[in-house]
Amino acid sequence: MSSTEQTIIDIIAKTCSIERERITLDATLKDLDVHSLDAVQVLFEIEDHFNISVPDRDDQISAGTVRDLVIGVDQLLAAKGPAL
Amino acid sequence: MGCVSALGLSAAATWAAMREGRAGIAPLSGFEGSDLRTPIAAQLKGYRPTAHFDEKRLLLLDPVSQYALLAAREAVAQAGLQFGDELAEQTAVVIGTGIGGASTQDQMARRLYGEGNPRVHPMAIVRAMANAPAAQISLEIGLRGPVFAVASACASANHAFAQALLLLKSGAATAALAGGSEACITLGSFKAWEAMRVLADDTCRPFSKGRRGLVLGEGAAIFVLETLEHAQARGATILAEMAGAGMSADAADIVMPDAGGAARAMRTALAQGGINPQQVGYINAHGTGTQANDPTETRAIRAVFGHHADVLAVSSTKSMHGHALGASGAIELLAAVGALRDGVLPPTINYLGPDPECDLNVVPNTAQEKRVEAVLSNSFAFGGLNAVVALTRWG
Repeated sequence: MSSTEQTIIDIIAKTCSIERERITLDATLKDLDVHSLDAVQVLFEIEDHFNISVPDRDDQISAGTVRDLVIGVDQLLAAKGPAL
Repeated sequence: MGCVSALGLSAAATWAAMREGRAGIAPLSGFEGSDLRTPIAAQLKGYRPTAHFDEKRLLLLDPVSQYALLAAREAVAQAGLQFGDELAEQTAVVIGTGIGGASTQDQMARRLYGEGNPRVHPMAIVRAMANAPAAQISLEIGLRGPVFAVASACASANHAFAQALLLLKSGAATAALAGGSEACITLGSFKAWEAMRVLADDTCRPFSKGRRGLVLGEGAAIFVLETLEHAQARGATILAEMAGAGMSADAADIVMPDAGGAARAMRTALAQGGINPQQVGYINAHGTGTQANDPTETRAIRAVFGHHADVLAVSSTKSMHGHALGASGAIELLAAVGALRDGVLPPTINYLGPDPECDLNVVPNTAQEKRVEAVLSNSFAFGGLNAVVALTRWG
């Protein structure tokens, strides 16, 4: 499990009070009964942790699976360049 | 009535712009260099505080109070009210605001935390307090009846009208200055709204396909309400009758609106005013342009009006003056009064085409001419707090 993946799953589990075991890479936030206000908070925690900006209405990130979310965040991190 | 909004610095200018379907939404000004995702807003244009207040007085006035005072001055002048001692003691001031002195709070935080400056301005408290707009109106005009603020986020102004109506009906006041004021366009509050991911990055398109969210606005609108007896005794020009005000809470979710709660507020306003749903020709919708509000409001209107929902017109003037939070219901009451008096239903501009979930006559892009006898003005706030005002034509 990549560190991005682990961190994102931790954030979803904590922000939405979901058991970590339920959060699979194939699940969408909707599958996990994450409502829009919680989803916005998940994105905030991700942005804050990784110091990235997740664009509004990025369907891959907000409507896709946890895997899509991990891929999207890795792309944003790659675009930001190596950590100093 | 009096108003300052992104559409103009008077009630007449604001209503004229609404009739014409003019846009008050524009690129955000005053925050250059800030990293904002959605840099558009409906800000006042050409407003210079020193044209209306001397510099000493401005030290006491957050923009939220400045806007309220300008609207109150215009409302009193238009109503032709003269306040003798007796009337001054029987006149209420009830002003809604969602946030209060946002600029003052923002500046104080910047100095204290950002600049490490330990000195806070000694007037920060009286500028920032939520009751400042109501208190400043009371002070300037010398009104000594019940004076207080009402806070229910985006429904504040409509809740203020409802409170003023109760005061008049109970005999606790003979007249009232009621409305709302908001000056929420600060970097701090803008960032907070952005973080909720409900702001549009193009413009505000209520009920339209392709809508992308709400656009923040600012301003104030204030109305003189008085008992019929008082208005007739002084020979006032009566603009409309405030027939009823319905209030309800969803008790469901802090942000997601509920059609049941919204419908209940509309039904209560109609019942209180003795208005048959078929008499209603126009609704000024809450119509924020968010994904959540517009379909929910459509369902609520259909639940209340049944087949009549296919006949009546429903528009959101927020497409023009933005969402001025605690002032929005008051700015929108101008549209309701204008519809009754002029027989012109202001449009929902920026409309791209129908959304099947918002299947109402939303007066797309161009005003419609139609004589209407009764109108509703809807406001639904975060917290699930709903307030709807019903007006009927006078004369």
